[in-house]
Amino acid sequence: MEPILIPSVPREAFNKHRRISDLVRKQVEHFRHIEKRLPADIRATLPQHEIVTEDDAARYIGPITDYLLSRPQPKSQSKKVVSIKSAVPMRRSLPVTLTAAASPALKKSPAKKKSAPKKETTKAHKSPSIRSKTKKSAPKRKK
Amino acid sequence: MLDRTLPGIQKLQHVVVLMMENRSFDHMLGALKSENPAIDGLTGNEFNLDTTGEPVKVVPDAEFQSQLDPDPDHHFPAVDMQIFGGVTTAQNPNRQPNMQGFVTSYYNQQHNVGHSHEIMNYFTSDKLPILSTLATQYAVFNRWFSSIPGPTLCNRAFAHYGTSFGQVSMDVFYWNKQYKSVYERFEGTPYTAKLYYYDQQSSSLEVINLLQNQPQLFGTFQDFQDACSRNKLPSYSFIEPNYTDHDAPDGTGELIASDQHPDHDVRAGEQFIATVYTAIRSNPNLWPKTAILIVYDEHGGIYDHVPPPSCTPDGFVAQPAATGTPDPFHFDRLGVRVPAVLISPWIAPGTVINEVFEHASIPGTLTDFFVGEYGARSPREIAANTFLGYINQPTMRADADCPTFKK
Repeated sequence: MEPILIPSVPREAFNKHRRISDLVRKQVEHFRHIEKRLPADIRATLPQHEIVTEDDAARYIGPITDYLLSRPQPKSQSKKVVSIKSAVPMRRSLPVTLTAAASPALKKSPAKKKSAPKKETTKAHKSPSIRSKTKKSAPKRKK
Repeated sequence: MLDRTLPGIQKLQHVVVLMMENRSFDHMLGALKSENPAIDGLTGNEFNLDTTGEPVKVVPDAEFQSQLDPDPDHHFPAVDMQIFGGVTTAQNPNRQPNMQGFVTSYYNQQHNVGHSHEIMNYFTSDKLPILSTLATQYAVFNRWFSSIPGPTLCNRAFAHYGTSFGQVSMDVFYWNKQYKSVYERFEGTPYTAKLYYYDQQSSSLEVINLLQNQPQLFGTFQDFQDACSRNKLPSYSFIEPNYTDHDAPDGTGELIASDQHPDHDVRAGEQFIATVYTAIRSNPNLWPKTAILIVYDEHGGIYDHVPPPSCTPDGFVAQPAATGTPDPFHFDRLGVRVPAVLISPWIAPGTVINEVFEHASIPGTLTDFFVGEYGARSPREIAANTFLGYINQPTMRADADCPTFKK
């Protein structure tokens, strides 16, 4: 079977100044709901700009997500955390293994099986949604 | 009951669920009926009446962007109109779903008769080469419905918890500890579960309960890709697309929304689906032992011709103040049909699934397969069909028989 061509996206499709949808507005409201319950010194570190556009939302959601990931967890949950850091976006923790005694009903853990060598290339895993700002020649959208 | 002696099931170690945003089955996959009559898509004769009384037929004129602006209403009252054609229970206690209210519902947003017709548009398969190829080369669900005739967050809750705890809206809600999330159910098992959102700036839609209280469950899409390349994929991965156009925080480029929510470009979602698929498909260590489900959370107010069926009530009731209609909702019928595709090299090409599924099928399937007996589940989840039984071929398909994608 011949490889299928992945559609390209014209440059003008990107619009960070688009007004947020009802979905993102609600997502922001949910973060605000959490933010209101945070200590004042923490809230002071979070962005307080007006959120109208998708870019506005992203610049608010990023820092508060960072905070939620980095803050200490209650003792009962802290055992499950695997190196969560408020570091660089898109390079975060390893998958969490919630290990304990296996249920008798379960089959053998797949995690114990031997892994084969890696064959992936870096290129194959690069997100297609990340587009260089230097790219100039995007095709025009059909009207 | 899943037949665990099936070769593909014996191999199965990973399940990946990618949940996209706000497109109906007919809008995305309805054109496939002309290629495979078993797919319950469009004949071209389906129609709604517009507000002048003129019939508006479905047409293959869907555009990638700028056509469904404003975002079609998909809150509970609007979806009720879309499904029942504007007939209320007060008018007819025995009303039946007729899918005749989509054009009127869209008209109500702008009072523009011409623009209201856009809600009947659908894509031809050549415009969606990724989703269409996967749907025709693996298994497509003819009857996967959103869990609630309403918006995103309550529908996504069904994918995480098997219930929305009585919610039919986008409002803040807190979980009922009676029903844990599917991810928490993996505690005490040798299996692992993780939610991957795109990046910090897009984050998760599961904010109040899981992200706030259990951040250890989360990773970024880059983490997912790294896990695939390092053969460290969790047993269960739930992937959220990018919900906003925004700059990469490190200044390296623009990150375009890939969720396909109107008015985001549908092609960016095609790219994202291809990336998720390729991360598994191109790794010979993962491909034989991984199943991928691509499913949309709800229809986004866009036309579909199949009336949603009734279902097992989940024990909650949303009162009229919450539904925005004269009636309470007992969670006893499903929402509008959405695209859903199941992918594995152990599935025969051209498979069409006719059983009824909904998002409670996701925790139901994952719990059944990885966790085993688990009593504290919603009645909806307990009643929901599970989908791994379609991974049923006696031999794995040859590599050359499984599609690949290229830029």
